[in-house]
Amino acid sequence: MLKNKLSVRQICIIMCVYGAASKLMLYPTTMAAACGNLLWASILLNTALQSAIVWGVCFLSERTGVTFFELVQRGLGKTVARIIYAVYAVYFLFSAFAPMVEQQLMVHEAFYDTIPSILVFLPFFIFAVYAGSKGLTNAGRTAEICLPVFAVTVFLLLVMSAMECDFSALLPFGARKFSEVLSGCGRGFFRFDGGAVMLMFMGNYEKTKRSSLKIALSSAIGGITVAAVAAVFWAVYSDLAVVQYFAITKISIFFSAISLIGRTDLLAVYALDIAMLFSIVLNIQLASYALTKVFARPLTSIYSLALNAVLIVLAFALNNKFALVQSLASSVLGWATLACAYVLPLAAWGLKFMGGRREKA
Amino acid sequence: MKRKQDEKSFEGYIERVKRELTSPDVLTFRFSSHAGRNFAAVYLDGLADKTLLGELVAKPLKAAGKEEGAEEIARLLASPEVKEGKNFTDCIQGILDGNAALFCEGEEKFFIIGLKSPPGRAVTEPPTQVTVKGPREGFTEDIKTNLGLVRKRLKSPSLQVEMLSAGKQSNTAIAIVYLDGICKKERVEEIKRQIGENEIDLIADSSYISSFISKRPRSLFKHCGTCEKPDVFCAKLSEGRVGIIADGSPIALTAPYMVVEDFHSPEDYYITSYRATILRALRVAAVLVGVLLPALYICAQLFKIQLIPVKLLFKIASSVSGIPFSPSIEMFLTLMVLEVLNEASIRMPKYVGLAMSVVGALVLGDTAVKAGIISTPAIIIVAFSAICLYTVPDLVETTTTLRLLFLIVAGSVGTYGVVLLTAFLFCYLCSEQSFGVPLLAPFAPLCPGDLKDGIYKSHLLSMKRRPQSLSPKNKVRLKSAEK
Amino acid sequence: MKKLNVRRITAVLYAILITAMAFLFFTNDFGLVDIRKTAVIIGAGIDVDGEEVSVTAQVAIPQPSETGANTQYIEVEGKGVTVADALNVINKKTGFYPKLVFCKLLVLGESCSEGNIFEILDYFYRDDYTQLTPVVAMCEGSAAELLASKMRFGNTATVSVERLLSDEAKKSGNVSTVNLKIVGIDSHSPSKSCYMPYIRAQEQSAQGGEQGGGGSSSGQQSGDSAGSSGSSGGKQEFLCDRTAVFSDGRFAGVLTEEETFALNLLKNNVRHVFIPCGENELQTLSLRGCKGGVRVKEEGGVPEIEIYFSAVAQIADVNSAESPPSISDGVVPEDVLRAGERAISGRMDALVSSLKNSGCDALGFRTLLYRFHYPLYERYGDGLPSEANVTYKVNLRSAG
Repeated sequence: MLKNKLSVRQICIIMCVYGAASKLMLYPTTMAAACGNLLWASILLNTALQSAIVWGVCFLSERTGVTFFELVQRGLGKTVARIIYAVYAVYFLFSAFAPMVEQQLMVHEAFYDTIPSILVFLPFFIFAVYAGSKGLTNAGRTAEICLPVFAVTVFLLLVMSAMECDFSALLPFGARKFSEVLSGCGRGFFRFDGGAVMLMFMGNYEKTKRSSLKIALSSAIGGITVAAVAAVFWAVYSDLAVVQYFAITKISIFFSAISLIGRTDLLAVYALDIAMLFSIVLNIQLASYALTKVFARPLTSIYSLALNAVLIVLAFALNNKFALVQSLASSVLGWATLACAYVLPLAAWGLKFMGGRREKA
Repeated sequence: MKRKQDEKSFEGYIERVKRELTSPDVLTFRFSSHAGRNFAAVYLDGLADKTLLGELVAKPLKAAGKEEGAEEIARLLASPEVKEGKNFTDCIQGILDGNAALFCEGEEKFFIIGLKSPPGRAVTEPPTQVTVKGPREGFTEDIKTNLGLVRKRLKSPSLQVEMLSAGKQSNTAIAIVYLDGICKKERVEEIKRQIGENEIDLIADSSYISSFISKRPRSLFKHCGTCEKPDVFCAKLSEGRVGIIADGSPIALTAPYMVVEDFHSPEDYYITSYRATILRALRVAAVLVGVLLPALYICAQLFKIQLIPVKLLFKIASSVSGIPFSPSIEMFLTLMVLEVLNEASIRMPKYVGLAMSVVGALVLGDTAVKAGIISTPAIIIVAFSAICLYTVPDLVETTTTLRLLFLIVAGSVGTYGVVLLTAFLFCYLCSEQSFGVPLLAPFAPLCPGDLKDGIYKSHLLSMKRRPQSLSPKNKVRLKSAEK
Repeated sequence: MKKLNVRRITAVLYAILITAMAFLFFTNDFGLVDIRKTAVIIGAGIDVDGEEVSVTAQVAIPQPSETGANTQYIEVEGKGVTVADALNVINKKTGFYPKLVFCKLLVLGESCSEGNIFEILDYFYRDDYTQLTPVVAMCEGSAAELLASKMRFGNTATVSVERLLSDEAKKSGNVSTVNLKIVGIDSHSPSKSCYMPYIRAQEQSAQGGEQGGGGSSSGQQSGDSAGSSGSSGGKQEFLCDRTAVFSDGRFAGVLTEEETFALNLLKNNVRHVFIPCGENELQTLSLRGCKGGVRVKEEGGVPEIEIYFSAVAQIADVNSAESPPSISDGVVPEDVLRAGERAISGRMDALVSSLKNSGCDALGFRTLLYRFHYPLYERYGDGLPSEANVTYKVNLRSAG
């Protein structure tokens, strides 16, 4: 029997670590291109929005104590609940695709000296099928393992880059228009799907004292970590940041000891990549979980296999079309994120009130 | 009716035993009392103690009268272990266990007399868990001795020993040991049920039991802890685990098992907590290096040269430039040579060992390098990896397999393969459980209290509670004044 | 219907997977560029010849050795329309795949000063597999000749130049070491200016005496494909005490040794420098605890540039004999300190004048104005550095 129960601590770690890890690949560079020295502001703005919606969903979960599926089922019936979960399964599938493509490119650059074949990336799907078939409890436990790995590696990479930072490069704040920051928010909006993730966790954890606040705060800490890495990235590369594609692999190459001991920073990047892998796979796990609810049968291995088959087809079809993937992600997936991670959670509150009134009546 | 009566007669019993136990080492010792009453003791040659049979059974029974009943005869016997046989199966089992079956003329009842004295070795220091400080006693192959060693350390009425028998042909005695009031009773019942569910001819070692009680016996990771030291065994029982001792095996099992246990050494508890923490961290690092170093070396050579510092790169490039094999095959061959040497050195007679080490080290190592077949860095890396893995001997079976897996993945997919395999292992371990306790506890799921005895070793006085991961019934293990 | 045995299927799948991996493992020569096929470029020189770019790579070729301590260095030249093209020619000629990940030095020949240097350097910023860590320098004459020079101390030219441009040398204030990243950032900043060390070669006789004057460069140019370093001619010594400055990517001149020294005091975190001063009696001051830089202030709505430098001074040497008690005293007289301050201010002034004349903002006035006084930047940014109102604040304190 697949387990989907999580603890508040595990949700906090997922929100913080996985939320940050998936955004440490290409996101800082795209934000540098969109907002220049104010890249951190755009990240923080999106983080604030995400944390607020995460808090809202947690609060709803505490008040109702049921899963989102049950909430919809009570308000609108089982069929509607199944349709909504099917939509979420598709949404999480495509949410996994954009970071997966980024991961593929990062792998090509950071793991190999020369451009390898796309086949090198295929083992990712073996891992994704396996991990995707595991329940949410497994996601919580892997997050707990990833926490120290993530914390230590990010800290190490930031320390190694400290000597090369010129934080005055983040100035002036007034040179860019606020519209540029907003445009950056729009471009990176699809990455802030914490609200949708939290909807899937709803009802799958026991509330504790101030759990909503803790989870929202964890989500904020994750975002702040990304903003900090982005700020350091800009402080190291300034205007050249837009041509340095994978911030986390580049910020510490100027560390003086590297010429003596080799690219040890890459070992930290490789360790960090474990957290990145799990953050991508979380979307597949959530899609699998959603499909379990849709079909009311816990055939997660088959769901995971099917989801990954779609991802493989997409990966081959859109190979070498990264610009298209990015533009589709920031436009289509951005709107989908608005609907699934912001509008539907708010609608869930509406369902809660509807249910309350019905009970009173 | 008459036949049944004949079978329960003195001669009938002896005949029946001889029919059942046809082996020539089943001996019958016939003797008579001064009053002329005949007795017969049937026993297995080599297992029962003949001297004791004479001293404790034959000598006292000389005084037996012609008409004395079973109770009087039992009172005459000087042996402290006298059991009245319930049925004939009891009789056969008793003889096979190494005891003697005593039949008396004119008496339907018979006795099983504990004279078991199987050949065995003395209590010595276990070769796999040697300590500099701390107790040096180790388990032996005799279950009674082993239980005695446990009892010697846990003189508590809570200590429960439940005896089972497993193996259709071997009828091996299995002792389930636990501390009542600390260990969860359901766990004991589950273990008993799982042992009972498996019928096998022979239980040659406790590892058979380990396979029976594992939910995933094909797993790369074990699901039962093993130990050869009674002090460690008792410490684990007192934390709320169940212990299993099998007759004929010096390795006792403990369940539930957590991977972190293997990174602990018995000595960690007898030295300062600072030193113990450093040693544990060192063991973790050594295992990581041992498993990953050959793979990373291949990755660096084939896929990401930058991982090697430039000056070292030139040295490595000089060393490997004349080698006829690709880096991955070279490393694979070197690793295979190491495994063969390792296997041979364990099994070969000691007096050949010295000659073989010279051949292994000099001929295979030095000459292969000089001949340009294997490079020096490959030998250094394989040797270092082997040394590293033996810092955690209990995990060697798993880690050597993992090292080979990582090597194959590194040589075929590269660095990304190594990262994926690591993530895969994390995911796998996070989903594995041993009797309801996750293998990666106390790290995943996180039990902050248990981290005091994880990689970090806290002072004994601060470990007031039993490990929460094991969900013991009684949570407090230490009550002391604050210091 | 027979129920699927998931465990068996999984086991078969794992077996297939492991077999496939093992197959790849034992036959893994699928176009990999491994350690044996890689040409480790430790230094590269770039010259421009009309429309053609010539890249000379100093390549390390490790030789088979039991001790693993034998490396041969050769220079390989490739010509093409771009740097990437030229590197590809090297690959075609030698069969070695040139990897720049270990390249520590990039020398631009004098011919590069004729155009925009970023037309050449563009490759290094564009290529994902190239880092921005190599030290960049411009040399007098041809970069190919410089790399082929036979060195006086027996090293390769790359190793010699690398030592001269090391971090330690940078901290002594004698060389203005920069890497590709700094050059790129400075050039793309509002200042649009950058600088890099300017290398001159000096030929030495076999006995070590100086033969030619500064600037004469020799050493045999390597053949089309390869040649051992400096097979003929006198042994070389390099000087890196001058600095080439660029504005908008174009060569704007060479700073003298004194100007270079002043630039280093202000731009680099110098640790321990020496400066001669005095009029009648000449002293060399040793300066520690150096703090120097440029500040832009707003004075009545107009930007004011302040160049500041402070350090703790000690007399390192005097050109006259002194008694042991006066040496042990260790206190630097006031007049010597002031003379030192004048010497430093003079060098700084010379630097600023030189930069004003060349229109190069190597000290980053415009960038500072942009970052810290953005409203003023929009109004006065274009006038810098030529219209800059500069004040100097040099303060030396005596040690002891």
